[in-house]
Amino acid sequence: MDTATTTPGGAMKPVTTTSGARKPDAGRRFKRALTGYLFVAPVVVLMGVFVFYPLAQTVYLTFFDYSFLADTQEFVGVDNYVEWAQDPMTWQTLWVSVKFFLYYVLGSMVPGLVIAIMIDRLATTYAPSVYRTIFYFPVVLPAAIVFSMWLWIYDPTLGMFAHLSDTVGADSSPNWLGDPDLALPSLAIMNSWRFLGETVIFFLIGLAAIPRDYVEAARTDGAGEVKIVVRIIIPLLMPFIFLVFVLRLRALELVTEPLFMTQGGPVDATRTYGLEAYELFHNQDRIGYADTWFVLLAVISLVTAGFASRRLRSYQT
Amino acid sequence: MTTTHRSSRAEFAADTTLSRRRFLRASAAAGLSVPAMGMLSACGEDSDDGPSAGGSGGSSSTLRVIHLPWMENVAPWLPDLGTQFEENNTGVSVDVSPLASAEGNPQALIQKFTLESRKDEPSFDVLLGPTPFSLAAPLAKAEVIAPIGDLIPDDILSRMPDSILSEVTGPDGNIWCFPFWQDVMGFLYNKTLMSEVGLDQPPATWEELHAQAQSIAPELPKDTYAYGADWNWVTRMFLPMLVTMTDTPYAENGTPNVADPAALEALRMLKDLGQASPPNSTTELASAEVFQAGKVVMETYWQPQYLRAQEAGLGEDELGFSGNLGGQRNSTVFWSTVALIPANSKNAELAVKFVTDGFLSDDGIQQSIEDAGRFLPLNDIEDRFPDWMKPLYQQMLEGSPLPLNDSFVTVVKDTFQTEAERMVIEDQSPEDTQQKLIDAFSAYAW
Repeated sequence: MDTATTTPGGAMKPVTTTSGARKPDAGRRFKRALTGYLFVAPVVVLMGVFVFYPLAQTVYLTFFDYSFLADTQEFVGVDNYVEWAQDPMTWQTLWVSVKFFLYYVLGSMVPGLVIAIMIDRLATTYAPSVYRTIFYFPVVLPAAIVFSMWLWIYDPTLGMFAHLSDTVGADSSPNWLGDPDLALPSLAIMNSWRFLGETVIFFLIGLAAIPRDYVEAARTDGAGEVKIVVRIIIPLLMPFIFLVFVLRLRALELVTEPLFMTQGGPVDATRTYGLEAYELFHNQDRIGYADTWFVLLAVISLVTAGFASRRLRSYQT
Repeated sequence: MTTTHRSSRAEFAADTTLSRRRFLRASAAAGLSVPAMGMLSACGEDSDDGPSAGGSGGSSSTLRVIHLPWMENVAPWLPDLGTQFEENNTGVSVDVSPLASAEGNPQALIQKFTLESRKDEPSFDVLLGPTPFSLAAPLAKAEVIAPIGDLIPDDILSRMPDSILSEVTGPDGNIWCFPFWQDVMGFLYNKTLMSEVGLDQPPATWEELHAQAQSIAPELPKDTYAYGADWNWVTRMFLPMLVTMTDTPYAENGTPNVADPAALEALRMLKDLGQASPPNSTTELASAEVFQAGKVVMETYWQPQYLRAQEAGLGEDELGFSGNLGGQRNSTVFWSTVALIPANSKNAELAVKFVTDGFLSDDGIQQSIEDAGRFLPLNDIEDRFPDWMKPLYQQMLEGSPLPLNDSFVTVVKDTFQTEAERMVIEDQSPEDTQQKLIDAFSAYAW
């Protein structure tokens, strides 16, 4: 069925509808497909060389006792996996990482949500971009600067919190990084601050997707602000909350922060799973066993992310 | 008009379609060729593009000097040494450059140099800045570096004290590093704070320090501490104590002799003194910062900390510095800054000459002492040191450095840190701490 349309020049020309479309011949289809394959080829090759091959090599090495410095590689079957399961450090460091993840998720999502809602409410009144910039600023700061800054903030004698303690007349400042009970939450607080802007941006996107009518209707019906947030905004924001949760799973791999700030101490309180694996690899030269740690961490992260994604889909539907 | 217009648009559209198709094909091919070329070049033979490419296949007139980043801060004149060496050695060019971000991760450096060695493509002719027990020992074990003893000039080697030779000689009897600077553990004190709490003289022994620290603690103002040290580092408090308490501070396998009865005594003292230290002491060098802020009375650190305290504003008349505190023996712990040369290097002799001329010549000695505050490994230069350095120089000649092996990297450092923290922070008994250290250290073998 043909219809007519007007060209920009004002002339009429026939337009072919889908039902009457002529199928391209095999040669043209092949050429078109080839062009597509050529386009994706660089990415596939690069991914193959820099992602899939190293990944396969990592899994392969888990079946070997491999020392890089001694240049020895002995097949050990699944011994590395058995050792991993029986190694007390596995469960100790995994627990440290899970605790850090929980502190971090709580510490970043609750303030992130509150701040996002406040910015969203102020959007029509005050310059929201200023707030977004202020909160996002720490995200773009180099990690080394952030770590050095927080080492000073946490210093129990000379640091910022110590001065604040003095100002309010407290007897002494907590030993943030030197107390085994405080060191891990302290790292989580620093990381929450550092990535707060990222969390806020995600929640702002979610808030922008919530129709204003719902809020206005609830307000007209007499609902207070707290009720609107708890009953309307948070339920509608759940997909984004789960999205941020899934993104925060990368905290299970935490290495840099304890490596730079506490070296895993005090008393292994900040010895995370990732840090232990890193030290097995670099300090102890147990490449095969360290790779086992990395591979199983990837499995744990995938399972957790998969579970969270299913929950996320259930909210979306 | 309209027809002409339509006609020109049609031509334009046809051209655009054609050129877009060409563009798509060209860009797809170009995109594919990038990784392909990368792979081809990775698989292909390396081109011989001269000595700076790193090959050791032939002698070269370019001497590649690399150094750990910290040296740049301590010795900003390093590039000048290269210029002087070029002037004094016709036909030789010197490339002096720092290693990027290497200091924080010696393990990554070990792997990098090992890989270069396997490919017979060392990226340096001489590496400056490592200590024997942290970087040199694993590299010697992996035979990445070459023994250097035969290359060190006799007039230098004969003037090196036994204590320093023992530090750079491996279990196989080879000298693996060329030492040119030393850091020596000593004792600093704040005279003003001492007089405020009624102390006329600094302690002379560890026992006196222990007693004084306990007696003055209640007198001190808020947030001021009797003593400071990196007590969770084995080399920075435990070993300086142990080497004064026993004749055998190291076991046969080269690890600290934690089975010695003196080790238990040292651990007990470390527990008490660690608890009297600033609460940030578990972070490296943090208690030194508190000292520099005038809030620590006495501390155990190496000699550059004396200079840093002055830079931080503590006056020369306010600061005191002595050798390591005594015990049964007058000794201390020190570590050398060394030069390493790669295995099979064709520029080894030139590299050793560079180190000798740069650091151990008359000018080099003067510059190292005056500008860097470093000791040097020669037993006949005491008169060249300022008075504040002289007590440490004597102790260094009789000192007990960590032997050259990789136990520090593989087991000693981390195990000691964890167990010392358990003892000081969580009140683990010194006896349990000693037993755990014995269990861990005795399992080590070179």
